[in-house]
Amino acid sequence: MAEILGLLALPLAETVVMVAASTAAALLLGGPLGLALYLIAPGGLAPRPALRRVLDRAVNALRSFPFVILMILLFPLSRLVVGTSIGTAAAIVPLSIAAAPFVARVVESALAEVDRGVVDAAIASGATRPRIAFAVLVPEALPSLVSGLTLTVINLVGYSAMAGAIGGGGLGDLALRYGYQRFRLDVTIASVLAILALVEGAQYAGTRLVRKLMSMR
Amino acid sequence: MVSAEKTEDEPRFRSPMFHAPRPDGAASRLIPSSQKPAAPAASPTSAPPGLTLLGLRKSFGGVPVVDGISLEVPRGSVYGIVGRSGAGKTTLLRMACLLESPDSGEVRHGGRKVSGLAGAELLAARRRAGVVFQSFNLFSSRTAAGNVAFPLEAAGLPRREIRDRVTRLLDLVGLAGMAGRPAGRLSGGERQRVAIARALAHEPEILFCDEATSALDPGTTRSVLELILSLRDRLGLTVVMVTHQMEVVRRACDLVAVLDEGRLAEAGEVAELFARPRSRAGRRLVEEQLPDEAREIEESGAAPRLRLRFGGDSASRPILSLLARSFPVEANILSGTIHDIRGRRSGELVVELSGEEAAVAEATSWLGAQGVCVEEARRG
Repeated sequence: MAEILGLLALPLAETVVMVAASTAAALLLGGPLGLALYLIAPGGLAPRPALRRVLDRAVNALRSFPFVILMILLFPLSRLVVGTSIGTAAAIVPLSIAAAPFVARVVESALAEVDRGVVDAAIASGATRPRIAFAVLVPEALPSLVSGLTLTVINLVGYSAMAGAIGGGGLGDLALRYGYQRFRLDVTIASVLAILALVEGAQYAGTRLVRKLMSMR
Repeated sequence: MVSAEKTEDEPRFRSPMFHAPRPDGAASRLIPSSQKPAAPAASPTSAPPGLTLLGLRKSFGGVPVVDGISLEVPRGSVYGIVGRSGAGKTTLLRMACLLESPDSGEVRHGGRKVSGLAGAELLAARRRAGVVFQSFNLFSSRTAAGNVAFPLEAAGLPRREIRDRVTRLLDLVGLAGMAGRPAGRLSGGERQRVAIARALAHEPEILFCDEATSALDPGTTRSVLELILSLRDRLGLTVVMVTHQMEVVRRACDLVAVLDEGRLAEAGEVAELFARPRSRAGRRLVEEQLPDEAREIEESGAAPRLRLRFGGDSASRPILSLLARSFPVEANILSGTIHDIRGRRSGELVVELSGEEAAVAEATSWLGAQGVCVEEARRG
């Protein structure tokens, strides 16, 4: 038991780091993209139909890419950004890029849920577009944004296990190399349980946060 | 209730906030003669009207929604824009309050041309006009105070000044104690009051109301209308309200424009519309209004009224003229309806019987003997 806990510690930390860092990076990449998709939509605050069609297609294309293939294709980028294509740090690059379009859709749909009348009220108040975006749209959409980000985190836990399979480290790596290849069923089960705990924890925290936000309204 | 409270507080509203000369005011109200409205009703000597619309047109997907409307709203008046749904009234209002840009035509606020503006000028023009919506459209992530503060934050005012102004604005609409309440935990009437305070944050000269009372119950509607009227008096606002409720027009408006299929059917004094509607659309709206108004007449005054219900045989005979001939009483009809239900008539009249008390009592019992259902008409 102690042995298994010892085996789990480092991979668990690696998974947490991978998920946290790639969530942050995906938010940085996908958040503005989602905001842009919302703003430049026809009937939006700054309609740019042609550009919007291009971005829309690009997001769809990236989302439909199988993650394993995306990861391999992005080896050169990982090497460029973090200096290596193996290890936890290297895995963060494809994880972020895979999650960014998902985050963009999460943000876009959360913003689209904001009542158009509320946006009208902000426009009629004489607010600039950036202010409407950040002082009205984002706070109004916050509960939806948080639940969408919870989904993102959970997806990334799953992806990170896959990243482990090709040298990314983490719980997936442990389950595969230690549990599967060395016939240690107990290690496999322990890894899966640890992943399950992460997913449950993320879902719990997300739900709590959403409830807290709603209770302040 | 709230407005009575406010009247006592009157001096407070003479605070510098609403009466200090605005930096842009004095100059911008002097409109060069070249910009004076060309509309015939414009009197050459007085100040420019609160709102001028000139030949506004707007179509969506090739369908004209507003089809060439010109209007002039005198400064300080409450102007109703009515019409059935689809008549184009909301689109007209959205163009007037700069939420929508017209395909052609011109919008002037207090004589200043405001259509076709862009950038900072457009933002400034929007701040000089307040808008109140049917569904309140408050920011649910903010408190009552936070909602009122938004337009001021958007204009980059210092935090302390925002706080002072928000306090005064909430006080103005009778919500002094609600500052910290989240928008979602206010009642409908309170929400609309917050929305009005938010719309007035920049001390606009015009307040636009888009069906502002349509989501409220009759009592709340009345108190919100009273608030708007008292604000008009205190702040010298020009108020433009789009509504489908003739009740609102009757209660609150001085002038009214009737829209029909994107065009102006008629415009003029409210009393004139109710007495002599000139257009088909105007007549239709006034007719729909009748029952409500009659009910109010019934409820007013202290004299005893009788509600007479006729059915079958009694509905076909001239009961009231028989009554007047047989007894020394006069019957004054206050309201009446007759239904024809598959060839059988049933009717209802509310009458005021005047005459000697004994004669009235006799007449009443005679009515009962004729098969008329008689009851005291009281409010209810």
